[in-house]
Amino acid sequence: MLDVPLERDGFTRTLIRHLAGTLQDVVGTDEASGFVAIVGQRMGDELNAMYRTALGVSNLTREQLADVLVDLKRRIQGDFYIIEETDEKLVFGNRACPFGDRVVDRPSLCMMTSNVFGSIAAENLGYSKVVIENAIARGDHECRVVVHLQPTAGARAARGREYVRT
Amino acid sequence: MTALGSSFEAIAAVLSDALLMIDGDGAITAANAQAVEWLGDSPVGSKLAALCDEPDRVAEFLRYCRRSSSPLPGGFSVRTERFRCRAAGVECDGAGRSVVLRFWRTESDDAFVLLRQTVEQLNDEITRRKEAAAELEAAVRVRDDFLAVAGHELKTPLTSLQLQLTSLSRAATKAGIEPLVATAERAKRSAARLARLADELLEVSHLSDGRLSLDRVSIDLSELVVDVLARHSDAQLRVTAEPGVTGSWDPTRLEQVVTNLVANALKFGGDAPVDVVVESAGPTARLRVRDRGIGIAPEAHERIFQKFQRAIATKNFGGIGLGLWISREIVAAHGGTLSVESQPGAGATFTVTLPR
Repeated sequence: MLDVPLERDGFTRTLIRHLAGTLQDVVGTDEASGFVAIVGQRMGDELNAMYRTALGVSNLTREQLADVLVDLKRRIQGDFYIIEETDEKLVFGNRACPFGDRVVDRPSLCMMTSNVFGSIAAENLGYSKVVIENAIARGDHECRVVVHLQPTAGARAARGREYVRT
Repeated sequence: MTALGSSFEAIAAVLSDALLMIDGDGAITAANAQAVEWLGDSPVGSKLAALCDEPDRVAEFLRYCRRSSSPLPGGFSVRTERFRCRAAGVECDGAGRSVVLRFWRTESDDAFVLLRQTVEQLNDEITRRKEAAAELEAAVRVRDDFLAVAGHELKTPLTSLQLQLTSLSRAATKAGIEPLVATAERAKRSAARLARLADELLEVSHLSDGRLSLDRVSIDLSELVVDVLARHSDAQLRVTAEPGVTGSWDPTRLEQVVTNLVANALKFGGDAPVDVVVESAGPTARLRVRDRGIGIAPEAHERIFQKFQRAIATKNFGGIGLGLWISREIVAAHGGTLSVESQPGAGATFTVTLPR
């Protein structure tokens, strides 16, 4: 076997990096984020159904939602942890991006987290607004993601993306 | 336009692209003229999915748009004609979330991509410029804050230094040690220059914060100017002061202005005479300071009145470029003007006009 650093996981991450990079270069970061957002919502719907089935519930509670979001990131090699958990919002930190170091300079990929988290939260609790305050993709040391669960004044004022149950 | 809400009317009417509003059930609730033209007879009331060639894909896309407020890109065909669209979910008066779709008919994906690229690049450039301007403003704030603190911190040890140098000079005079007296006097002059610089730095923060307050009293500008010039006792200075040029001004602040203008004229005027003229000009008083020195290039006439700006390199003449800015701020606080007329090599005339 030749000594070439190529395996399936690394190949997939690199593929995603180039897909996102190509989108950003060709149509711009904003539009690329829109495409990734649609992919994220599809992923969110599938993951939501998967967890509801595994937990045997028709709707996730707020406590279950927080655990599910951490668990799904852990399974794909993210390192999310809960910083704050109230009825109004969930605040997560993250020490490792599931896309690995291939995410740097690919902020459009943050739409994946925003839309997966936002879709699952909104489908179960009716409303969410996801604010990515810090992002490894933008060069920050860690990510900090706030998921507002109620349309409070603070949530309305924050710069993020809103989701509602469909 | 068909049944669009008033808030959309102005925008929708001028757009060359089609604009549709879709309700929560996927029914078209509003369409502008371009949409009517492209999609056929008024589509209001029809389901968008029913008009499109790929109804399931359109339905799924609209579901994502209704769930999210984010602008999402999409594309679908109507009677085999391709359209690209940009959609966003919007809150509608608490009646649920609708979707606004703006879309372009496209013959070729390339054309669409090129157009989008151009727009994105333009947006990026505007964003970069805004960020650069914001960073510049922040840097200026940091600089002014630093200078205010530096000026304040310098004042205390400088005052102590000046007192001790004065004591040293007196002691040396009493003891009759002439070389030491001369050295102490030189050191005092240097300390005084430093103190003036520290004062200027403090002025930056006061004036930038709009904290310049005037203590107006009735004074004669001619008397004030003659008093100030007497302190210079410089043979180059020639004064023409019309008596009785009175007004309600702050004498301490105007002394600063006269001192700055005269010091500049002496600094840049070479050994040629400097003329100072005070006169009445109707409802205003006018002070002119004219030197015959190196002059100022026209493109620098406004710049020299800005903070930390100088017309020529620092290495040739001392100063940190605050005197004229401070002078103009003081004159402006009195409701007056400070301007310059000059050509390179032909000297400069600074004119202060003050309402009386």
